[in-house]
Amino acid sequence: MSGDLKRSVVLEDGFPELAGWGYIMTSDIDYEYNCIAWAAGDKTQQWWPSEYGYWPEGASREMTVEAFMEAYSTLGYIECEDGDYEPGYERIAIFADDANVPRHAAKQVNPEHWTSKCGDMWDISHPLPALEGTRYGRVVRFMKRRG
Amino acid sequence: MNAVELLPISAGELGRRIDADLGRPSLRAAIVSEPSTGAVAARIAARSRKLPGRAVAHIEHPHEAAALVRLVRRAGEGIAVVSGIDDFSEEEWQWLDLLRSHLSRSGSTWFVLSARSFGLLERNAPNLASWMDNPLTLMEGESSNYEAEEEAAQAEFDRLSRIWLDETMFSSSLTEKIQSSAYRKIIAMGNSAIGPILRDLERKPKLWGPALRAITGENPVPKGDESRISRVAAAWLEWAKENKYEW
Repeated sequence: MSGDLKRSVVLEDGFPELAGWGYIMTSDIDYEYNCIAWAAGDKTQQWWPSEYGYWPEGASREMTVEAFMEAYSTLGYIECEDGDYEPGYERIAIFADDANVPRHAAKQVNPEHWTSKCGDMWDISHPLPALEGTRYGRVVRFMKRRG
Repeated sequence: MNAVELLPISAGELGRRIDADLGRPSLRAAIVSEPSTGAVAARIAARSRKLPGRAVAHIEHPHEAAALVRLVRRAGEGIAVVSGIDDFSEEEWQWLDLLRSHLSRSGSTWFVLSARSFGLLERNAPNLASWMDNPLTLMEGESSNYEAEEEAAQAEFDRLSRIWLDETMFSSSLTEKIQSSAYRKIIAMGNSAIGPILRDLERKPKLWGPALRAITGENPVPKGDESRISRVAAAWLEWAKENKYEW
């Protein structure tokens, strides 16, 4: 990442709840991938269940939490109870709005931090609740796999 | 008295006629002041190159009627724009009248003539003149409107794409991005949005594939690459080069 910018007023304007949490930006702006791809470890394309996005074979092309879980299950993830850090496992969290429509996904980095790609903007490292709010809704599912 | 009707039009209207002619046979004459025939022909050719799927030949200064016919036929199904024939003699126009059936083809042909040359055409090639669809008189002082139109299209695209990015920059939903009102308005700009989109794709690729597909009806992106922004951009830029776009 160029420069030493660690926080952004643009981000905090988009996510008012973020300002009160400790977070750092970890990348430049990149239009190549989105948050769903980033949580899957893919920086080369946009994951989305539409004709212009990549969607794993076998996963339903639907805007439902279940379809997103099917997509991640193709990478070996299985549903788990919580977001507690567990050495030897990778975890992801799926966010959904009040209508239960998926809005975001984040991947666990360490006991305190998760990593997220914020739309077309930056990757950030943040506590999980920092992105919960009006824009991405709340975490509705956790999944894990052996890392 | 003119044998055919002369319609005074602006450069903008001329551009719309060019768009409307795409894909159908037509024979047209645009009448402009003598010193600007070459420049207007170049603009018609440039405008035509922005249309998808058609090759464009600008035929300048053919030395005789037979050469003109040969070059127009070489344009095949593409668009041929002819200029620089203001020194054709009466005899040469008569030859062109005799050869007129060879100008019949599936692409459109534009003659850009001075008023004097059009008078020669009417007198010496009356059959060819009668084949022409409403010869057009380009209004004085309007020829610079092409550049003004392009600048206006760029400004409108810049304004709409800023709104689109502001509204969707934190969204990962491709559906939401494509359905946003600003994105739909860019698609509604039609062909005038193609140049600004290509320039943006070259500078910093973004999700412009669906917009280009909606505007052009084409899809040059290889299957499996739809989700890869850089590859989508590369495919569209290659398509634009193949279709003689200038941006």
